[in-house]
Amino acid sequence: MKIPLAWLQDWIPVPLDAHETARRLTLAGLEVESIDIVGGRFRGVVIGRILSVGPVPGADKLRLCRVDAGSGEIPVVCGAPNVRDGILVPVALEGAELPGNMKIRRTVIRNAESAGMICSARELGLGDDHSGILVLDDPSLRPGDAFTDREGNDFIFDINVTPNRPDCLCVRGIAREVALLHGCALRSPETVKPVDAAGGPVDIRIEDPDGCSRYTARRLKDIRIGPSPEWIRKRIEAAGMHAINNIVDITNYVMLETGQPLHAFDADLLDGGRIIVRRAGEIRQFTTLDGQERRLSAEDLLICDGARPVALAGIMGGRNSEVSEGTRRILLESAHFDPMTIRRTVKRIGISSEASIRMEKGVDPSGTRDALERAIAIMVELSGGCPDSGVTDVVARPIRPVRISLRPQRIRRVLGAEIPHADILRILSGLGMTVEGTDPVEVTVPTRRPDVTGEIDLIEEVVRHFGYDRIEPSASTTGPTAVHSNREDEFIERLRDILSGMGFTEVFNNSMVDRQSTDLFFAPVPAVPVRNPLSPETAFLRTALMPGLMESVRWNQNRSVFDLRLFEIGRVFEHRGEGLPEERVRVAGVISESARQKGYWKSRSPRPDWYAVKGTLEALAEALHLKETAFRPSPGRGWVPGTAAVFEAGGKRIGSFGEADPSVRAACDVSERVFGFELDGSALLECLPQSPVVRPVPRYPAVRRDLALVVDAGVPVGSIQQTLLLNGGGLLVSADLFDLYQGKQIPAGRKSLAFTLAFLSPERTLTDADVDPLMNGIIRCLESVHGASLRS
Amino acid sequence: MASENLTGEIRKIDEAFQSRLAEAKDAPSLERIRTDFLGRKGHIARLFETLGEADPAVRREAGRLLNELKNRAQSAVLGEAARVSAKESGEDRPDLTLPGYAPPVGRLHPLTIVMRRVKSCFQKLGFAVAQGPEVESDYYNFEALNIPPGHPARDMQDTLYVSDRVVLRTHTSPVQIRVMENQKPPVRIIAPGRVYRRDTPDASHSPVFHQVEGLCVDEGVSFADLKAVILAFAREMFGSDMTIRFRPSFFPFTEPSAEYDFTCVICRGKGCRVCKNTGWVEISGAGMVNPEVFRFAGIDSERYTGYAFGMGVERLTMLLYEVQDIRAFYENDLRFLGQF
Ligand SMILES: [Zn+2]
Repeated sequence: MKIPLAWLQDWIPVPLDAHETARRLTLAGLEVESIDIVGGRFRGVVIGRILSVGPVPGADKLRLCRVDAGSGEIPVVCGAPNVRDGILVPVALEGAELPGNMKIRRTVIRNAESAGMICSARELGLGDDHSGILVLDDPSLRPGDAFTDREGNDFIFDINVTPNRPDCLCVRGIAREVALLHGCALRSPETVKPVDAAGGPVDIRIEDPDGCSRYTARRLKDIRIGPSPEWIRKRIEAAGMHAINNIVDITNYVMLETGQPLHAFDADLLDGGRIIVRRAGEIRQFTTLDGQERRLSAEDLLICDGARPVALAGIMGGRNSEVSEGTRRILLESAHFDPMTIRRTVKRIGISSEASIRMEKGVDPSGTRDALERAIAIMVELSGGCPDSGVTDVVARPIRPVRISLRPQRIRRVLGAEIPHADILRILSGLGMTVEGTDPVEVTVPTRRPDVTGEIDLIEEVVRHFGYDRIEPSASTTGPTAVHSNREDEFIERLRDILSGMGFTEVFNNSMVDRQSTDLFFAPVPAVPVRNPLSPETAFLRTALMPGLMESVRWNQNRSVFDLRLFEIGRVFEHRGEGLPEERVRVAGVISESARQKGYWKSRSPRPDWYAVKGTLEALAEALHLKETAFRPSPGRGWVPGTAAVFEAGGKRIGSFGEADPSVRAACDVSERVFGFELDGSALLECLPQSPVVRPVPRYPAVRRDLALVVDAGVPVGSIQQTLLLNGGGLLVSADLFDLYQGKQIPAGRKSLAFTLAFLSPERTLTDADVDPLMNGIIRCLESVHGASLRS
Repeated sequence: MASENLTGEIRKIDEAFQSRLAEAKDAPSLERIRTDFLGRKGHIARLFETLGEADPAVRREAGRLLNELKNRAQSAVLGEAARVSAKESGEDRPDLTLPGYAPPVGRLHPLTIVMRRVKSCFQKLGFAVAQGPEVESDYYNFEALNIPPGHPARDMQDTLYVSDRVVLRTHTSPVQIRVMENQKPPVRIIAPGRVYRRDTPDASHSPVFHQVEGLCVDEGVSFADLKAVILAFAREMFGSDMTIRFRPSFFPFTEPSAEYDFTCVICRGKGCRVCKNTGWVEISGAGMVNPEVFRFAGIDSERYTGYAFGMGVERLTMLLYEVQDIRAFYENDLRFLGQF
């Protein structure tokens, strides 16, 4: 809400300092987000500090100053006799406006550049002194701060009023807070002149007391429509509204002042001069005064005359009864409508006005009459009109003040601090509450505060004005609570450490993706749709992490960042109809390197490929002590056929890996080959051993033998390893492949494999006599089972 | 054989070995020395064979000497071999300016780094980590937090909906309710996680971001405790010179509610562009748990009191590392991520 300080000042008997008032309001929960300086005799002038003074060649009287103007150092040429370094001065920057329509421009004086002007008091219109520049001796001033015209300026506060405080959507409401914050009483600016009643009452019928608790109205006649005086126009424009004509401007002025929205009908356009408040029911459409045709629903609250709707209650009047230049008689409405009813209509129709902003949060049901009388008094004075009816005030559903008991001991318990009783009374009564008794304090809350309904609300009011900063931090004496460690969270952090330790960099991708992205990898699952996405690119929740990683690859490769090892840990979602979707934590990684990467200078390191991903999973399994791990071929969407495989541990499927299919890469706009894996976090956690089983290290040395053999190219190395281990007589503990060769020295269709075998006995040191027969048996077996031939 | 002969023989072999070794220049000559002295038919093996025929009185001493010679010769040959091979390959004088062969270095995402610091800080203060779903029911995200349908506070956050009753959680506060439903006081938890808002991305807004929610419920927990825990956090996170400022605010699920500020971490309170010369930076919201929320969670608000607080992980990270644009966290440019 925007409020000119001068308007607030009308209500406060002590002079207000703009920045101090803003500070106090902010610390009382009415955050002043900005202060705009308007009016005044000049603008664009800041505080500057003269850093150095030097000559201007060829000009005796001129000096070239270097000035710190906050945003940087600027050169300014100055001819004043009292210029010297170190002083603070007002500097009119380029674009500044000074009295007498003077605009400051960047100029060159005698070959010296000047980016502003150091001002005298007369140049700023602040006095007659033109003997030298104005020297400011307030040491708290900082270069770059605005130099303001304290008398001629007004300050427009932009106050962030939280939705629980509809009473502060007006000058009077803010003024009440300001008065309490300055320890003074609220001053009413002008007493409402009672205007004599004339004519009969207004014919008002409230058919829906739930929607309209109170409707107050009066007719005025002999109105002359014209522009409103400047002081009204200036204030409502400062508050962000447009001036229209005297009648409309006055309704807006009084609304900004009191918070009560008012509406003026052209009384001669009201059928039968009647007002009926009712729900739309069968009425289907209505044209609001902005010319828009609105489709109504049966629940919308309408103001009707004898024949038709004339206003969307509390939101906007109708075109059919609008005040225009020819209007002579008006009916002025000041009513209280049910906030929820207004809010529903606002939401549904998508219409909003200054009136509805207040109505939907709740205006004071007791305030309709005062606001009406205030507006009538101003209208009579400014538009020449005179009353054509008495004030008609129909209360369909009385809304009474709430009474709340406040226990001082409860304040102590909630705040952990003692607040003097006198402060409690001062604050509550300063907010317009009636206070009786001491323990408990019986508080009657004015109807303008719909947010205060219970004891805790009163405690908040008390501490808000007592000062949050006066509650000292102090740790309570409550004892230790149980330790609840979160196994899943700790596991995920461990995975992050393992993967980053293996050279993978962690990425965070958006969980909201486009439709296509949910179909790229793995068996399709129903994706969770977002009903109101910002764009089609974010209309679904991700079903896998791989597409996001592909996007990270694309982003980096497009910026010539290659050699990528990335991982992400995050949730994926599967749609489950009406209820909440299934959320699972996934762990995924990619390896992608450009063919342009040159490698290490000394010996060429292998280019990362499919085996790098498999090796990553093997290392991960090793790091986590996973048991019964296996890799099985398994076709999977998104992977190049043949490279797709699943990773199992403990007999359960953990996830899959492979090389990203070229069609997927094309869809993701990725040019380089990408190898990836994606695992299920909870499956991984489930097969995690509680702690590793530790055995003593072998006491006797192993005997190592190398074995080179040639087999058909199609024989899987794993099956040979299996044969080796099965025929090791229980002493062969490992058979590691150290070479694989296919080429010139090997017959076509065959490959050469070389293993290191380690034999180990827990009981004694093995000798050649132990190992030789085992080796012979192994070789025979390899020959017969795999058609292997020994390579010498 | 006389004992003098045997020990003298050992000494002679030793001297011969030393002089041959001193002359050895390359790997083949070393190999020859190894065969001559340490081989299966070498000088030392030959002497071992004669040991058996020696006088038992001298056998012990001669055996010890011979073993000692064997070990010394073995390590001398190995050491010399390493030196010779290093010399031949040039490794005895590496070029210190040539790049080493380094394993790849992975980095944690800055948000992970900061979230871990936040978690660690509160874990030291006795808070446990709790989790809740990112896609929430309207009940947990709003209603049970005292934000009924049609409440103006629903306008404070732009919500992304899955259906009428299901939303992408707009804050981590629903975890408060889920925890309180399952755990009677004392409760002391933090809930880190992803949240969603219908905000168009710009330098300071991201439709996906991270929060850490905190909740403490027990007998005798007060606003003063809340200030103490926030102060402790500020100092652990940003340094012991931090001060905090609480300003009244409004959240339907806390009362009294506050926005809390820290001393500007850039200028340490002196005033700068980041803090708009106020010396303070806004961190997030906090307050005492509203009795209405206790009612939804089935906790007696006369007996128990509690506080709750939130914080934005992106915001903290941006302050800690002076990151200017929130979108950088989700672009995953390695030139950005590699700096953390
Ligand atoms: Zn600062």
